[in-house]
Amino acid sequence: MKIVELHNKAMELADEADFQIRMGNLKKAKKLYAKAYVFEKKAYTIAAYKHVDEFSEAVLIKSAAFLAFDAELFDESEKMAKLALSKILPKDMVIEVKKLLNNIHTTRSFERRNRLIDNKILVHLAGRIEHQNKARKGDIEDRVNVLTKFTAREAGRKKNAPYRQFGQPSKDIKEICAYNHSIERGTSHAVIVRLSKIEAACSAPDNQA
Amino acid sequence: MRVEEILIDNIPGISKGTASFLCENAVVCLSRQKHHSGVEMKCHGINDQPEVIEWVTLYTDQMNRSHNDQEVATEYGAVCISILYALHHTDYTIVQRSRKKTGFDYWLGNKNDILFQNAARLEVSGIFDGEKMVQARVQQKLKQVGKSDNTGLQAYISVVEFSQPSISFVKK
Repeated sequence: MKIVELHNKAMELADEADFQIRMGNLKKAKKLYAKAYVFEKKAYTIAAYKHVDEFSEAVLIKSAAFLAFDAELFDESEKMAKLALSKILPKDMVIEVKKLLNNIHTTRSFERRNRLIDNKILVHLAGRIEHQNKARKGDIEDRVNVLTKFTAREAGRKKNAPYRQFGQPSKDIKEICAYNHSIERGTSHAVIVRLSKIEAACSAPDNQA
Repeated sequence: MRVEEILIDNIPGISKGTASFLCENAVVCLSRQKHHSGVEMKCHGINDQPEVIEWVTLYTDQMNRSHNDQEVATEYGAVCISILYALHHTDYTIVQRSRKKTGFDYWLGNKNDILFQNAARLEVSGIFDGEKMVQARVQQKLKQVGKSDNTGLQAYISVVEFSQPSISFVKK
């Protein structure tokens, strides 16, 4: 098959997958996206081997990266996105690919959250932090402080402690709420709030943030 | 300009099925705005001469139900009108697509080009009902695409409005 035929086949499959999404068949759509990705990657591989032209290669690889993301093949998508960034791309397309990388890391963070044990809450910090790829001290601390305050409130409520209008939480509640901070990737900021001794003090709050 | 031309033109990057889908969306949007075949479309940008849009596809109940998401219908309807307009009013003959976050990027190219070599990006935006929003949308798109100037990439911006049919087709 020629490059153009492979690429067109990939786009047709992506069309079909989009249609399946609209019909609510997500599993079928995922499979079709995966198939489309294989064709698009093949088109790129041949284009790169034949040195067609760098811009076409870049567009193909970017397209493959998005298809892999739609198919939830995050490792493949990351590989392709990084390859795309190594090519000459217009600035707005570079931004698109960087956002894709960000989405991959975010999705992974949320996947990990589901694997966390009960006394840990993983909070992904989105917004300005994500786009600038750096976080100011306050950006993290302010959010974590709000979260730990809510956690302490929830712990107090579950412990049937009297409602506190002002001041610090009691020492035993303060002790069980501690956080440690992790940055998992350069473009993804996450904070883990660990509730130590939670089982001993009271039942754990929902693992949601 | 006949909407069904998108089916006949045999555009390399767009299969018959996709062309039919795009065509249906354009007919749905125009029909939902109570327009009939032969409606005049105001044009701004590379050509200010109004165009007449014609279609023979019947707007049926089944079609109405199939395209019940107005946002999606507007987007693809705008793509259909924009592609036809580009084929009529630019030197480009081929439309290719590539995947992006929300759907597809559309590219205009020449017959002898290899894939996206020398291609021009077609940035499409659709408005179902909001004549006053057109200019703001064009400016917003120009700002976005403007970032790619340093690569020498050609880009066209097309904003299609369906209530008082109009197209703003601007070359960046």
